[in-house]
Amino acid sequence: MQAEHPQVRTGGLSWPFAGAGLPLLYLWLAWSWWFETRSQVVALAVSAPTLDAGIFAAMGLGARMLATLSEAGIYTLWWRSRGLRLPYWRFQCWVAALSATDLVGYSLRRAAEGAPDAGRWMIAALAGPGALSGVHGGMVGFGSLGILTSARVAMTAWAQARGIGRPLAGPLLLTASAWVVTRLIGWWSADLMKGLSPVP
Amino acid sequence: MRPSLRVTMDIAAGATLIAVVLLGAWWTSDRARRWERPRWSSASFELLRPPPAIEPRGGVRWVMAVNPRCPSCLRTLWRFHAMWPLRPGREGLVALIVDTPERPDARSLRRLPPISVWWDRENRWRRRWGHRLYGELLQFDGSGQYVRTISAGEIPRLGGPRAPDDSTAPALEGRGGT
Repeated sequence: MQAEHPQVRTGGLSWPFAGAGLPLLYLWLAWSWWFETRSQVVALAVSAPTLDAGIFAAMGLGARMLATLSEAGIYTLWWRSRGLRLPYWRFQCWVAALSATDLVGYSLRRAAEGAPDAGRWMIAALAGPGALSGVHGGMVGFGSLGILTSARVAMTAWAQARGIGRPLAGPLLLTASAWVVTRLIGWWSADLMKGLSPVP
Repeated sequence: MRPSLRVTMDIAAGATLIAVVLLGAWWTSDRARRWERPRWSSASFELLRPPPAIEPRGGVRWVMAVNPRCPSCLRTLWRFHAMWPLRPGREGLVALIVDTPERPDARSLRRLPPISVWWDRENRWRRRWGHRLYGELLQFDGSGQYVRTISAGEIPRLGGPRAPDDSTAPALEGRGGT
Protein backbone atom coordinates (compact mmCIF):
# COMPACT_ATOMS: atom_id res chain seq x y z
CA MET A 1 0.00 0.00 0.00
CA GLN A 2 2.80 2.32 0.83
CA ALA A 3 4.41 1.64 -2.56
CA GLU A 4 1.18 2.69 -4.22
CA HIS A 5 0.99 5.86 -2.15
CA PRO A 6 4.51 6.99 -1.45
CA GLN A 7 3.26 10.20 0.08
CA VAL A 8 1.65 8.26 2.96
CA ARG A 9 3.79 8.57 6.10
CA THR A 10 4.07 5.88 8.76
CA GLY A 11 5.39 5.91 12.30
CA GLY A 12 6.30 3.15 14.73
CA LEU A 13 3.81 1.34 16.92
CA SER A 14 4.71 -1.96 18.52
CA TRP A 15 2.30 -4.66 19.69
CA PRO A 16 1.22 -4.27 23.32
CA PHE A 17 2.14 -7.90 24.02
CA ALA A 18 4.64 -10.18 22.39
CA GLY A 19 3.99 -13.54 20.73
CA ALA A 20 2.01 -15.97 22.88
CA GLY A 21 0.79 -13.16 25.10
CA LEU A 22 -1.59 -11.95 22.41
CA PRO A 23 -3.96 -14.96 22.27
CA LEU A 24 -3.97 -15.07 26.04
CA LEU A 25 -4.80 -11.37 26.17
CA TYR A 26 -7.73 -11.80 23.77
CA LEU A 27 -9.01 -14.86 25.65
CA TRP A 28 -8.85 -13.05 28.98
CA LEU A 29 -10.57 -9.98 27.54
CA ALA A 30 -13.33 -12.09 25.95
CA TRP A 31 -14.02 -13.98 29.16
CA SER A 32 -13.86 -10.85 31.30
CA TRP A 33 -16.19 -8.88 29.10
CA TRP A 34 -18.64 -11.79 28.82
CA PHE A 35 -18.66 -12.14 32.59
CA GLU A 36 -19.04 -8.39 33.16
CA THR A 37 -21.88 -8.08 30.67
CA ARG A 38 -23.67 -11.07 32.15
CA SER A 39 -23.36 -9.62 35.65
CA GLN A 40 -24.87 -6.36 34.48
CA VAL A 41 -27.75 -8.06 32.66
CA VAL A 42 -28.59 -10.19 35.69
CA ALA A 43 -28.37 -7.22 38.05
CA LEU A 44 -30.51 -4.91 35.98
CA ALA A 45 -33.16 -7.39 34.81
CA VAL A 46 -33.78 -4.98 31.98
CA SER A 47 -36.89 -5.55 29.96
CA ALA A 48 -35.59 -5.74 26.46
CA PRO A 49 -33.69 -9.03 26.54
CA THR A 50 -35.75 -12.05 25.73
CA LEU A 51 -32.83 -14.44 25.99
CA ASP A 52 -30.87 -16.11 28.74
CA ALA A 53 -28.41 -13.74 30.42
CA GLY A 54 -25.43 -15.81 29.29
CA ILE A 55 -26.53 -15.76 25.67
CA PHE A 56 -27.28 -12.08 25.90
CA ALA A 57 -23.81 -11.52 27.34
CA ALA A 58 -22.32 -13.47 24.43
CA MET A 59 -24.18 -11.21 22.04
CA GLY A 60 -22.89 -8.23 24.00
CA LEU A 61 -19.37 -9.59 23.69
CA GLY A 62 -19.82 -9.93 19.94
CA ALA A 63 -21.06 -6.36 19.76
CA ARG A 64 -18.09 -5.20 21.81
CA MET A 65 -15.66 -6.99 19.51
CA LEU A 66 -17.29 -5.35 16.52
CA ALA A 67 -17.13 -1.99 18.29
CA THR A 68 -13.41 -2.45 19.00
CA LEU A 69 -12.70 -3.41 15.40
CA SER A 70 -14.81 -0.48 14.19
CA GLU A 71 -13.19 2.01 16.55
CA ALA A 72 -9.73 1.04 15.40
CA GLY A 73 -10.91 1.09 11.79
CA ILE A 74 -12.42 4.54 12.06
CA TYR A 75 -9.25 6.03 13.55
CA THR A 76 -7.17 4.24 10.92
CA LEU A 77 -9.34 5.56 8.09
CA TRP A 78 -9.39 9.04 9.60
CA TRP A 79 -5.62 9.28 9.65
CA ARG A 80 -5.36 7.62 6.26
CA SER A 81 -7.63 10.32 4.89
CA ARG A 82 -5.09 12.79 6.25
CA GLY A 83 -2.23 11.02 4.46
CA LEU A 84 -0.98 9.17 7.55
CA ARG A 85 -0.77 5.43 8.01
CA LEU A 86 -1.81 3.82 11.26
CA PRO A 87 -1.08 0.04 11.44
CA TYR A 88 -4.60 -1.30 11.93
CA TRP A 89 -4.09 -4.62 13.71
CA ARG A 90 -1.48 -3.32 16.12
CA PHE A 91 -3.63 -0.35 16.96
CA GLN A 92 -6.72 -2.54 17.28
CA CYS A 93 -4.80 -4.69 19.76
CA TRP A 94 -4.01 -1.59 21.82
CA VAL A 95 -7.65 -0.54 21.78
CA ALA A 96 -8.74 -4.00 22.94
CA ALA A 97 -6.06 -4.16 25.64
CA LEU A 98 -6.94 -0.70 26.93
CA SER A 99 -10.57 -1.76 27.32
CA ALA A 100 -9.32 -3.59 30.42
CA THR A 101 -9.34 -0.22 32.17
CA ASP A 102 -13.12 -0.17 31.69
CA LEU A 103 -13.36 -3.60 33.31
CA VAL A 104 -11.37 -2.35 36.28
CA GLY A 105 -13.63 0.71 36.43
CA TYR A 106 -16.79 -1.44 36.57
CA SER A 107 -15.32 -3.55 39.36
CA LEU A 108 -14.24 -0.50 41.33
CA ARG A 109 -17.63 1.18 41.02
CA ARG A 110 -19.30 -1.98 42.27
CA ALA A 111 -16.86 -2.14 45.15
CA ALA A 112 -17.72 1.47 46.02
CA GLU A 113 -21.26 0.45 46.99
CA GLY A 114 -20.08 -1.05 50.24
CA ALA A 115 -17.06 1.16 50.83
CA PRO A 116 -16.72 3.91 53.45
CA ASP A 117 -16.92 7.53 52.27
CA ALA A 118 -13.18 8.04 51.94
CA GLY A 119 -12.90 4.88 49.90
CA ARG A 120 -15.77 5.88 47.66
CA TRP A 121 -14.17 9.23 46.92
CA MET A 122 -10.90 7.53 46.05
CA ILE A 123 -12.74 5.11 43.79
CA ALA A 124 -14.62 8.03 42.23
CA ALA A 125 -11.31 9.70 41.40
CA LEU A 126 -10.15 6.52 39.74
CA ALA A 127 -13.31 5.14 38.18
CA GLY A 128 -15.52 8.21 37.87
CA PRO A 129 -18.34 9.94 39.76
CA GLY A 130 -20.68 7.03 39.01
CA ALA A 131 -19.11 5.44 42.09
CA LEU A 132 -20.80 8.09 44.22
CA SER A 133 -24.22 8.49 42.70
CA GLY A 134 -25.00 5.41 40.65
CA VAL A 135 -25.80 5.44 36.98
CA HIS A 136 -28.62 7.93 36.66
CA GLY A 137 -29.03 10.74 34.16
CA GLY A 138 -25.74 12.15 32.95
CA MET A 139 -23.87 9.56 34.97
CA VAL A 140 -24.84 7.01 32.33
CA GLY A 141 -22.60 8.89 29.95
CA PHE A 142 -20.00 10.49 32.13
CA GLY A 143 -20.09 8.43 35.32
CA SER A 144 -16.91 6.65 34.27
CA LEU A 145 -14.89 9.82 33.77
CA GLY A 146 -12.00 9.33 36.15
CA ILE A 147 -8.29 8.71 36.07
CA LEU A 148 -8.72 5.29 34.46
CA THR A 149 -10.84 6.55 31.59
CA SER A 150 -8.63 9.59 31.10
CA ALA A 151 -5.64 7.28 30.95
CA ARG A 152 -7.39 5.07 28.41
CA VAL A 153 -8.21 8.03 26.20
CA ALA A 154 -4.67 9.36 26.53
CA MET A 155 -3.14 5.96 25.79
CA THR A 156 -5.39 5.48 22.77
CA ALA A 157 -4.23 8.86 21.51
CA TRP A 158 -0.63 7.99 22.31
CA ALA A 159 -0.90 4.76 20.30
CA GLN A 160 -2.19 6.75 17.34
CA ALA A 161 0.54 9.34 17.69
CA ARG A 162 3.14 6.58 17.74
CA GLY A 163 1.52 4.86 14.81
CA ILE A 164 1.33 7.89 12.57
CA GLY A 165 4.53 9.47 13.82
CA ARG A 166 2.93 12.75 14.79
CA PRO A 167 2.71 14.80 18.02
CA LEU A 168 0.15 13.76 20.61
CA ALA A 169 -2.05 16.87 20.39
CA GLY A 170 -3.96 15.97 17.22
CA PRO A 171 -4.74 12.35 18.16
CA LEU A 172 -5.65 13.46 21.69
CA LEU A 173 -8.12 16.04 20.41
CA LEU A 174 -9.64 13.50 18.05
CA THR A 175 -9.88 10.74 20.65
CA ALA A 176 -11.25 12.98 23.40
CA SER A 177 -13.84 14.43 21.01
CA ALA A 178 -14.90 10.95 19.92
CA TRP A 179 -15.18 9.87 23.55
CA VAL A 180 -17.38 12.84 24.45
CA VAL A 181 -19.64 12.23 21.45
CA THR A 182 -20.05 8.54 22.24
CA ARG A 183 -20.78 9.36 25.90
CA LEU A 184 -23.46 11.84 24.88
CA ILE A 185 -25.00 9.23 22.60
CA GLY A 186 -24.94 6.69 25.45
CA TRP A 187 -26.50 9.10 27.94
CA TRP A 188 -29.26 10.31 25.67
CA SER A 189 -30.03 6.85 24.31
CA ALA A 190 -30.29 5.37 27.80
CA ASP A 191 -32.61 8.16 28.89
CA LEU A 192 -34.80 7.68 25.83
CA MET A 193 -34.90 3.94 26.41
CA LYS A 194 -35.96 4.12 30.05
CA GLY A 195 -38.17 7.21 29.98
CA LEU A 196 -39.43 7.87 33.51
CA SER A 197 -38.93 4.30 34.61
CA PRO A 198 -36.47 4.17 37.48
CA VAL A 199 -33.31 2.12 37.26
CA PRO A 200 -31.60 0.48 40.23
CA MET B 1 -3.20 11.52 0.47
CA ARG B 2 -6.50 10.45 -1.00
CA PRO B 3 -8.76 13.43 -1.55
CA SER B 4 -11.79 11.19 -2.08
CA LEU B 5 -11.19 9.39 1.22
CA ARG B 6 -10.75 12.71 2.98
CA VAL B 7 -14.03 13.99 1.57
CA THR B 8 -15.74 10.73 2.56
CA MET B 9 -14.42 10.92 6.12
CA ASP B 10 -15.35 14.57 6.42
CA ILE B 11 -18.88 13.80 5.22
CA ALA B 12 -19.11 10.88 7.66
CA ALA B 13 -17.91 13.05 10.54
CA GLY B 14 -20.38 15.78 9.60
CA ALA B 15 -23.23 13.29 9.32
CA THR B 16 -22.33 11.85 12.72
CA LEU B 17 -22.38 15.28 14.30
CA ILE B 18 -25.74 16.06 12.70
CA ALA B 19 -27.12 12.73 13.99
CA VAL B 20 -25.85 13.53 17.49
CA VAL B 21 -27.48 16.96 17.37
CA LEU B 22 -30.76 15.37 16.25
CA LEU B 23 -30.53 12.78 19.04
CA GLY B 24 -29.91 15.61 21.49
CA ALA B 25 -32.96 17.45 20.19
CA TRP B 26 -35.06 14.29 20.57
CA TRP B 27 -33.74 13.79 24.10
CA THR B 28 -34.44 17.42 25.00
CA SER B 29 -37.97 17.15 23.65
CA ASP B 30 -38.56 13.91 25.54
CA ARG B 31 -37.22 15.36 28.80
CA ALA B 32 -39.30 18.51 28.41
CA ARG B 33 -42.53 16.65 27.79
CA ARG B 34 -45.03 16.81 30.63
CA TRP B 35 -46.10 13.27 31.34
CA GLU B 36 -49.24 12.37 33.19
CA ARG B 37 -48.98 11.33 36.80
CA PRO B 38 -49.81 7.61 36.89
CA ARG B 39 -53.18 6.79 38.35
CA TRP B 40 -54.94 3.47 38.79
CA SER B 41 -58.47 3.48 37.51
CA SER B 42 -60.29 0.34 36.52
CA ALA B 43 -61.92 2.33 33.72
CA SER B 44 -58.51 2.98 32.17
CA PHE B 45 -57.63 -0.67 31.71
CA GLU B 46 -59.37 -3.84 30.68
CA LEU B 47 -59.66 -6.61 33.23
CA LEU B 48 -58.55 -9.92 31.73
CA ARG B 49 -58.48 -12.00 34.87
CA PRO B 50 -60.07 -11.07 38.21
CA PRO B 51 -58.08 -11.30 41.42
CA PRO B 52 -58.13 -14.54 43.41
CA ALA B 53 -60.87 -14.76 45.99
CA ILE B 54 -58.39 -14.51 48.85
CA GLU B 55 -56.89 -11.28 47.54
CA PRO B 56 -58.16 -8.03 49.06
CA ARG B 57 -60.08 -5.71 46.79
CA GLY B 58 -59.93 -1.97 46.75
CA GLY B 59 -56.79 -1.58 48.84
CA VAL B 60 -53.20 -0.78 48.02
CA ARG B 61 -52.16 -2.11 44.63
CA TRP B 62 -48.73 -3.05 43.41
CA VAL B 63 -48.85 -3.10 39.64
CA MET B 64 -46.14 -4.79 37.63
CA ALA B 65 -45.81 -3.75 34.01
CA VAL B 66 -45.16 -6.86 31.96
CA ASN B 67 -45.02 -7.86 28.34
CA PRO B 68 -45.96 -11.51 27.74
CA ARG B 69 -43.22 -11.67 25.09
CA CYS B 70 -40.54 -10.78 27.63
CA PRO B 71 -39.42 -13.93 29.50
CA SER B 72 -37.13 -12.05 31.86
CA CYS B 73 -39.89 -9.77 33.14
CA LEU B 74 -42.25 -12.73 33.45
CA ARG B 75 -39.62 -14.42 35.59
CA THR B 76 -39.43 -11.28 37.70
CA LEU B 77 -43.20 -11.36 38.15
CA TRP B 78 -43.18 -15.03 39.13
CA ARG B 79 -40.34 -14.41 41.58
CA PHE B 80 -42.15 -11.50 43.16
CA HIS B 81 -45.39 -13.44 43.28
CA ALA B 82 -43.58 -16.23 45.16
CA MET B 83 -42.39 -13.84 47.85
CA TRP B 84 -45.70 -11.93 47.98
CA PRO B 85 -47.23 -13.91 50.88
CA LEU B 86 -44.25 -12.84 53.02
CA ARG B 87 -45.30 -9.22 52.81
CA PRO B 88 -47.56 -7.77 55.50
CA GLY B 89 -50.81 -5.92 54.97
CA ARG B 90 -53.71 -6.28 52.64
CA GLU B 91 -52.10 -5.38 49.38
CA GLY B 92 -53.00 -6.61 45.96
CA LEU B 93 -50.52 -7.66 43.31
CA VAL B 94 -51.60 -6.90 39.77
CA ALA B 95 -50.05 -7.66 36.38
CA LEU B 96 -50.54 -4.92 33.82
CA ILE B 97 -49.91 -6.10 30.28
CA VAL B 98 -48.30 -3.29 28.32
CA ASP B 99 -46.95 -2.77 24.80
CA THR B 100 -49.42 -5.33 23.50
CA PRO B 101 -51.68 -3.88 20.80
CA GLU B 102 -53.71 -7.07 20.37
CA ARG B 103 -55.86 -8.33 23.21
CA PRO B 104 -53.78 -10.98 25.02
CA ASP B 105 -55.09 -14.49 24.45
CA ALA B 106 -55.58 -17.31 26.95
CA ARG B 107 -52.15 -18.69 26.14
CA SER B 108 -50.51 -15.43 27.18
CA LEU B 109 -52.48 -15.36 30.42
CA ARG B 110 -51.41 -18.90 31.29
CA ARG B 111 -47.81 -17.69 31.39
CA LEU B 112 -48.67 -15.33 34.24
CA PRO B 113 -49.00 -16.27 37.92
CA PRO B 114 -52.52 -16.58 39.37
CA ILE B 115 -53.08 -12.90 40.10
CA SER B 116 -55.29 -10.17 38.75
CA VAL B 117 -54.37 -9.32 35.17
CA TRP B 118 -55.23 -6.12 33.34
CA TRP B 119 -54.55 -5.07 29.78
CA ASP B 120 -53.27 -1.57 29.04
CA ARG B 121 -55.19 -1.31 25.81
CA GLU B 122 -54.25 2.32 25.13
CA ASN B 123 -50.70 1.80 26.33
CA ARG B 124 -51.02 4.59 28.87
CA TRP B 125 -48.03 3.22 30.73
CA ARG B 126 -45.73 4.16 27.88
CA ARG B 127 -47.57 6.88 25.99
CA ARG B 128 -48.97 8.95 28.85
CA TRP B 129 -46.96 8.02 31.92
CA GLY B 130 -43.63 7.93 30.09
CA HIS B 131 -42.52 4.62 31.62
CA ARG B 132 -40.57 2.21 29.43
CA LEU B 133 -38.94 -0.60 31.41
CA TYR B 134 -40.85 -3.82 31.96
CA GLY B 135 -40.86 -5.54 35.30
CA GLU B 136 -41.07 -2.34 37.31
CA LEU B 137 -43.56 -2.12 40.17
CA LEU B 138 -45.89 0.82 40.51
CA GLN B 139 -47.55 1.30 43.87
CA PHE B 140 -51.02 2.87 44.10
CA ASP B 141 -52.96 3.59 47.25
CA GLY B 142 -56.52 2.56 47.92
CA SER B 143 -57.92 5.49 45.97
CA GLY B 144 -55.76 4.79 42.93
CA GLN B 145 -53.28 7.58 43.63
CA TYR B 146 -49.74 6.93 42.55
CA VAL B 147 -47.28 6.38 45.37
CA ARG B 148 -43.99 5.33 43.78
CA THR B 149 -42.22 3.07 41.32
CA ILE B 150 -39.67 0.43 42.14
CA SER B 151 -37.40 -0.86 39.40
CA ALA B 152 -37.16 -4.54 38.56
CA GLY B 153 -33.62 -4.60 39.87
CA GLU B 154 -34.76 -3.44 43.30
CA ILE B 155 -37.53 -5.99 43.64
CA PRO B 156 -35.37 -8.63 45.37
CA ARG B 157 -34.96 -6.10 48.19
CA LEU B 158 -38.71 -6.21 48.71
CA GLY B 159 -38.44 -9.75 50.02
CA GLY B 160 -38.22 -8.55 53.62
CA PRO B 161 -41.08 -7.59 55.85
CA ARG B 162 -41.07 -3.99 54.64
CA ALA B 163 -40.53 -2.30 51.32
CA PRO B 164 -37.53 0.02 51.08
CA ASP B 165 -38.35 3.65 51.68
CA ASP B 166 -35.87 4.89 49.11
CA SER B 167 -37.81 4.68 45.92
CA THR B 168 -35.83 5.51 42.82
CA ALA B 169 -38.85 6.92 41.06
CA PRO B 170 -38.23 10.28 39.41
CA ALA B 171 -39.83 13.35 40.91
CA LEU B 172 -43.43 13.52 39.88
CA GLU B 173 -44.00 17.23 40.16
CA GLY B 174 -43.26 18.54 36.72
CA ARG B 175 -42.46 14.98 35.63
CA GLY B 176 -39.01 16.07 34.63
CA GLY B 177 -37.45 12.76 35.46
CA THR B 178 -33.80 12.10 35.82
